[in-house]
Amino acid sequence: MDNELKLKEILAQLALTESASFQYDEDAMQAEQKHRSNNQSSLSIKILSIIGGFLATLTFLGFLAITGIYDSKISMIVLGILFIGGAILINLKTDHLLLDTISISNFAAGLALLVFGLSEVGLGEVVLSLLVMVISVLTMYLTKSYMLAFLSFAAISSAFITILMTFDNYNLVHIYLALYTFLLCYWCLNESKIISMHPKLNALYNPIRIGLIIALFSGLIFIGARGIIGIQFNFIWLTSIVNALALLYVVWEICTILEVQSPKTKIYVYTLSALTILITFYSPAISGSILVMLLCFLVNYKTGFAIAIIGLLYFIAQYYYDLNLSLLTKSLILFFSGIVFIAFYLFTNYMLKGNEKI
Amino acid sequence: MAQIEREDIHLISRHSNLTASTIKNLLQNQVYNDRSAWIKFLKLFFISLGVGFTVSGILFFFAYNWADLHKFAKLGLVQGLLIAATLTAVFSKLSQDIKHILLTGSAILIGVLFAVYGQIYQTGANAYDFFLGWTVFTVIWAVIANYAVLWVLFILLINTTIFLYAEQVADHWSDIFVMALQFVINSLFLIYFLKRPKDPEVKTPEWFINLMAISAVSFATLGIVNGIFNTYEVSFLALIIITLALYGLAIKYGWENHKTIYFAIIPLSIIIIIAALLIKISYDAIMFFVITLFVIGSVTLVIKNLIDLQKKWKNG
Repeated sequence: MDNELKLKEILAQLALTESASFQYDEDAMQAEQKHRSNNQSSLSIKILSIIGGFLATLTFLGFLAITGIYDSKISMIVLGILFIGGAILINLKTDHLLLDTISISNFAAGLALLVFGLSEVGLGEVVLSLLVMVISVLTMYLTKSYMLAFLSFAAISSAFITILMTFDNYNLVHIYLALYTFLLCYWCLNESKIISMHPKLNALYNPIRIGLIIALFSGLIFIGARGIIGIQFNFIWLTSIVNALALLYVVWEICTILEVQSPKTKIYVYTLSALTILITFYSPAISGSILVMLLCFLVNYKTGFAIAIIGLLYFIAQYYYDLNLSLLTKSLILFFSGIVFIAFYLFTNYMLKGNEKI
Repeated sequence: MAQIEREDIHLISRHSNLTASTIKNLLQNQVYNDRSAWIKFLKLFFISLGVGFTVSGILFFFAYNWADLHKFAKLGLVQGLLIAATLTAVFSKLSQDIKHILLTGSAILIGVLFAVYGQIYQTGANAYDFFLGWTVFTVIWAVIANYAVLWVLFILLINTTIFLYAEQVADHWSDIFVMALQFVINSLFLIYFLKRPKDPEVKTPEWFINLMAISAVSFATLGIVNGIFNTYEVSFLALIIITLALYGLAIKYGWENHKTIYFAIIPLSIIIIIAALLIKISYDAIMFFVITLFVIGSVTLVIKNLIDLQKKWKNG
């Protein structure tokens, strides 16, 4: 088959260029690749899986509601544990795409039941969230399923933000944002290091990457959409500074790729970056989106790139909509920003026309 | 030399002792974006932001001054833009794509023109009038330009006109009848686009066909679910018959032409309809449990079927 030959060819190439100590288990690779192509799931099938699992969970919880199980805390807890256990077991035994739907809905329903039951018993929010985190980490460790790993990571992020929110200080969301921005940067930029560390971590690399992006953007929406939570802007500098540092680092990487050599160009580039950071200082949603967009383009991660662009457009629109200035002032700001960007375009064009080396 | 993809690198790394630095080199050479990609991206990024911001600025400026403009100025402005866009689309030497985009912009401007007219003269027309006029004046361009996005706009306008007409004028029409009507009309468009003589130069884009199919099936599904929960009427029976016939045709078409989308949306529609039927039969706890199992089972079957078809048709 096509893929089999391609893999052989790649391995042969590597064997030539690698040192003598290069060892590989070809049979395992071929087996896994064959298994993957048998269970090939395009994005539409993944979405169908999630919707199916989600609907099934909802109807099942509805069924439980009608049976009155919400009155009995113990049975909720027990059922919750059973479902989560069931989800993990199904995943351990088989790695079939078909059972993904069931294990996803089991996991979600089990988690929901467990949380309801334990909170009825009187367990505090912090302890509950920590418990959810532990269970999710365990699930991530044991599972072979992409979807389940992603859901567990989403559960961990939700638990984390819940813990932060229990302190009744919405400014703490900036800790969440700063942390996730840093994690995402590290995760994307150190792909080689992470996937070579351990096969388990290798398998978790993709789900965690998309998990980080979605968790980050969920958090940014709270910052970007001012109406949702009453956030004071005293601590917005925390997120903005992390974004600023990360952006400068990424710009440095880009300059290396673009082979920028002349110091004059470097000054222009860094001034532009500093200007962007300054303008978006009070809107880390925008600087965050730009950062994720550049990161994803750097590592050629198309899904993340698309999400970042949509986010960027949304946050810019939101920002201008919320701006407490007259339409006239807004129009002038927009118009002149537009001229500035066109100037950057012409500058980039000019820089690359005359001389190959910039 | 085979093009190494990210998935290959991850796979190999899982089962070998490749070092981090080797992987990094592989990724940078084979997967990550190189200099030329970056240059293209940066140029596109700046020009898009530049044009977007500048145009928004101009729009906002007019929005600010709108109330103070004389009515002839308002109408003249929109008409001027419309004429300029259309003339550029027809007579200039720009690329075909840009011309199509300009023409689509002109079609949107027609709507804007009618809206401005209605606002100035407070014609108090029913909303459907406005959409009807807009539709009528777009039809020629849509047919001649044969540009997918413009077709989408046109079909959207037709659907909106029908919907508003039914709501505002023909309110003796039942909901089911309206949805059946929209289902039939959208299906007719779909069939037209699938069956019309193929133009060697212009291919009907796949996303457009899929969008038409999804919208047609959505109307059918909505109509039937509506019919399940409301009192019986003749339109409902007619809708069911037409739906069965068209679904059958669609499956046949999908099978013969190796199109998996029909095997995804039609089963999904049937699943939703059956779930609605089940809810109608009983509201019990047991029924919810049955529905849960049914949903899981059927979605799983659909997915399995899709994967099998995909495999068969990729190798066939």
